Amino acid sequence: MIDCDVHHVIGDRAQFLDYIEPGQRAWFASQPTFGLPAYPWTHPVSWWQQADDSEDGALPAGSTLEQVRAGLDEYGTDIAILNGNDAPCLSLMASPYRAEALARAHNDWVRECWLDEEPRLRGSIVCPAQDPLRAAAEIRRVARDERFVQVLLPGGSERPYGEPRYLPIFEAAAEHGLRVAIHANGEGIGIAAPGGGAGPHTFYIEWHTVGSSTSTMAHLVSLVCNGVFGRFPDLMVAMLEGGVAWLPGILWRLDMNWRGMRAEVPWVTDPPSEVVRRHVRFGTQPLEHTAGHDALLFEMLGAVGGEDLLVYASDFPHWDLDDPSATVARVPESWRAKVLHDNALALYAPRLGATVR
Amino acid sequence: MTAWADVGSWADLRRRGRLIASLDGREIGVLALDADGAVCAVRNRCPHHGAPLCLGHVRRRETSAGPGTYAVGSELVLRCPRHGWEFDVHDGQCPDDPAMRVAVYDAEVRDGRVLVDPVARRRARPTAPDDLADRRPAVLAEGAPCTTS
Ligand code: FES
Repeated sequence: MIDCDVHHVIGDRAQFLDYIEPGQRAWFASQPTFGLPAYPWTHPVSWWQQADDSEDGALPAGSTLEQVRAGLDEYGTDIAILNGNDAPCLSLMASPYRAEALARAHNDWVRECWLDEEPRLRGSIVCPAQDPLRAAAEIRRVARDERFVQVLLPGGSERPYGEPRYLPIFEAAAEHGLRVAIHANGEGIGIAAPGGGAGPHTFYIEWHTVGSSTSTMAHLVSLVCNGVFGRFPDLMVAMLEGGVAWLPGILWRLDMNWRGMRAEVPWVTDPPSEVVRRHVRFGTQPLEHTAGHDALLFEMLGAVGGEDLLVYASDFPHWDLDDPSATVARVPESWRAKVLHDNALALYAPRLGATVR
Repeated sequence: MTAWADVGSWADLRRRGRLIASLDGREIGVLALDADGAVCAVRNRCPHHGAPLCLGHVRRRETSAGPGTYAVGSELVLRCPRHGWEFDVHDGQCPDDPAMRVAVYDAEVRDGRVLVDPVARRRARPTAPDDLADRRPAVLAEGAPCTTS
């Protein structure tokens, strides 16, 4: 089983600060959250699985290798792709210089403290997306290590990622067979545009319902309409944690609009849904609960090729994780092997293929 | 043997942008492709939602050499006035949806009159507009009589 979305957090501050370049270490040490922008609310109960929460002062789940290993053991995970919990939001810091230093430290810390220690783990490269040339340089620096399988961007951004300003990021990723994961996170914080498309959210429940899914839709549509996949024919993108129930509707709508408005984007020569089928995969978590209409959900997803588009993601160790048994119980039987393993193996083939069967 | 129909004058077509005639119970629109008398004839019913397709405009379809670049292509399409779907004027095919095609008819201007063969073309024709001049005389040479009834 391949889990495309496992989170880890910086548990040992002192250990992490050692990876920050000396000239900036004191500044980062003085910042409670390493200078990362924060949401204007907290989760009303807990961001984390309750059993692992920090009421007694213990570290939140995902803070230590042991905690993550325990999750892999419990779920029978063969390969887990580690996605830094907060780190991608360095793209939303006002200072690209701080962001670059934090990205370098995080990537080196992932390599030495996680990938070197646990062979089931694969890494995601964080980069200062607010300065795409710096971001591309960091991607190229880290790409030498094949255990990094993707570039990780937050859903929060200044503009949707199809914008030409971001091309250096996609170019660097494509050049090295890295995938680009866009993980819902950070919408409306720091320098990001407000989430949801109607101004800032009041509550976390709003963000979790629409902030995370609408940014995913916006990036998806932007990448297609700006022809990013036309520029980089081997590029593959993974959309994580934005949900999937909306996908058929968006693809149908985009296809319909493309027929009438293609003059605006004449470089999009194939129906957008076909472009998405070739180039984009979607993490299963959070798989929307359907009030008893799972058959309808999967019929609709099947109509847009969902069997080949979905990749299992647990979102361990967050409060709303989907453990594999829960996902398996819901996806159609004929989809299971693809969703749990085959689709992810194919997605990450350039960097996973040699070492994983 | 098909009786071609006279649906109006070339001058009238030029003035009004299109001629629409009811032939054998079907509305067929004739639109100009250039100023020299090249025309197309298309069923006046969009295969999408049934809008009067021939109230749309003939235009050269946009194309691109790559993301961010715009060019005007050579393919002539009729754009539906309702949702903007496009149909190749020569074979009726929607270039963006293989399942979507509108009936097209042979038509030409002779002696200032616009003539239409009310029997729809059976098969798709080549789409390059440059071949139009070659094609139209060939249809007449096959013996289709031209009436001005
Ligand atoms: S009715 Fe013609 S495009 Fe919809």
